[in-house]
Amino acid sequence: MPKLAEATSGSNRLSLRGSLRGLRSRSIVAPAITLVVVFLLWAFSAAATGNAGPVELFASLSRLWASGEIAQSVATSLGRGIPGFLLAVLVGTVLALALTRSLWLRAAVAPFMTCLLTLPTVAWVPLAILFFGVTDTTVYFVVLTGAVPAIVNGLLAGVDQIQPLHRRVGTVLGAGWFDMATHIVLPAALPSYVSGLRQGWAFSWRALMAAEIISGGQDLGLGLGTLLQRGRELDDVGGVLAAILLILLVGVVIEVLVFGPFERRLLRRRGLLTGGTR
Amino acid sequence: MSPAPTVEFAGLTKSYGNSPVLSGMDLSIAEGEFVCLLGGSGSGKSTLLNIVAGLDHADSGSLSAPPAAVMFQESALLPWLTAAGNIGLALKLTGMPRAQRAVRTQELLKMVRLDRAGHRLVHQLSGGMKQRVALARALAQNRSLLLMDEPFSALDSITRDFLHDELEAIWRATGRTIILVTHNVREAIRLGQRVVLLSSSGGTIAGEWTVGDLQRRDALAAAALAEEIRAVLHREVHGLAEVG
Ligand SMILES: Nc1ncnc2c1ncn2[C@@H]1O[C@H](COP(=O)(O)OP(=O)(O)O)[C@@H](O)[C@H]1O
Ligand SMILES: [Mg+2]
Repeated sequence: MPKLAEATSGSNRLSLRGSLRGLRSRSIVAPAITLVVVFLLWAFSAAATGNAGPVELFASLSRLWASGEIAQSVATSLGRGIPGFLLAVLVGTVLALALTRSLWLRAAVAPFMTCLLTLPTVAWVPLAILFFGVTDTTVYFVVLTGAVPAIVNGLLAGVDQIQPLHRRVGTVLGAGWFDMATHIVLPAALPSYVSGLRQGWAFSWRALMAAEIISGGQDLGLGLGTLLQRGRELDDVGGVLAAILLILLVGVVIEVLVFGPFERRLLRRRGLLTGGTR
Repeated sequence: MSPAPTVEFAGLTKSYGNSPVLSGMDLSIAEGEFVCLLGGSGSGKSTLLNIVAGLDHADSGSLSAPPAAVMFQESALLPWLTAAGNIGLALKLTGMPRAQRAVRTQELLKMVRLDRAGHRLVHQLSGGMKQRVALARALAQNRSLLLMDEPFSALDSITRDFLHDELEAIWRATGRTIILVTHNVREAIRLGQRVVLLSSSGGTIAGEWTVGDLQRRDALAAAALAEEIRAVLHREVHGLAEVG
């Protein structure tokens, strides 16, 4: 990866642009080549062994598209995933801010947040189903247990990393605790907070899929996880592959369209990132 | 001819663990005066300034000082705001209504000759520009006392000379009381009406000089005074080396 941060003087502009362009085309062309190679290898081995291959995958995709089930399942899953995540953001943020107000409270709660982070969220699903049945409550429970610890940890880490000098600036400028929180602490902690949000989204998306797959059936409506589970029950490899691809795509699209640009803009504004690194 | 003191402290002491940093510091500074605190590294200059600023507390002694604006050595600008945003925040925290802030921000930027750079982000400013913005932000607070902790020591000497001129002009125009900390003898004489030398070992005042009109106008006289101060400073620093 070229070191772009230093290349700001006039004489370096050209090479900077050149390497940026190189970076951009490289970051599109190279993965595309990987995909083509993988699909070719897969197609050959499928033809040789008689297993399902790219042909079955694309057949299933077009069938699901035509029946409207792709749109329906994406809408169902995001219809729970996004509100669940937003609720987790609210809960996680308020909780983290509360923890920064008291060392005792923090010592009592923060270690368990870190513990929770190491537990795969799928482990909560059977318990939630026993408690709440196959209901929306189960889904929101696992989404929250997935996302909240990551969000809390991200915001706490950000608050811990604030430069003492910036706090002193707040004091010198006469900020009380509210102004300190809104004008110094939160903005300073933002990059770490955003990576917590991003991790929280990834965890809650996985938790949501696990809940849909494990609960199976149609009780939760037709989500992407339900689609996958249905494919398994019907012995429809193409359907399973299509569902996996869709689950992956939704995750990637949210990452590329929401978190990626937001984080890059944030870092570039602070001079922490002067070129594209993704 | 001698206005009432605005900053006055007596018998200030401060230690970290077992090592005393200040041991009985007395000083009195008149309203509108420009005082330079000079001392080697580790002589307690920042400690003293932070105590006057209310950012730190002395262990004993008496202190009377009005609320101060402070400018730090490193650029202490908030990197998520623009130049104008940093000044605007200072104004906001003084309680100035939003409508007046934009105009006042522009005035302050003009005062430090950055009226076209207000939109720039902190990382897009040079070292000299950053310290200018920091100065404008300190002035935004409208406090009669301005404390400056080695504000120019990270700058190249050409930029520093420019900023010396600007700071002097601003001091004359605004009538603020300024305490500026430096380890540079030339800078202390260039800016201060009075130079106070902190002892490197004792945590007390090792010497005090008034910079007169003669030294201000005449380079030779300034050089002679600098020599005199430097001799004492070297004795201080050297003496410390012998003890340690
Ligand atoms: N927070 C602190 N804890 C322990 N020692 C400190 C602390 N701050 C300063 N000191 C010590 O006090 C002495 C004076 O520091 P300081 O006031 O920063 O000196 P100066 O600004 O003149 O270089 C130094 O020896 C420094 O190591
Ligand atoms: Mg210092």
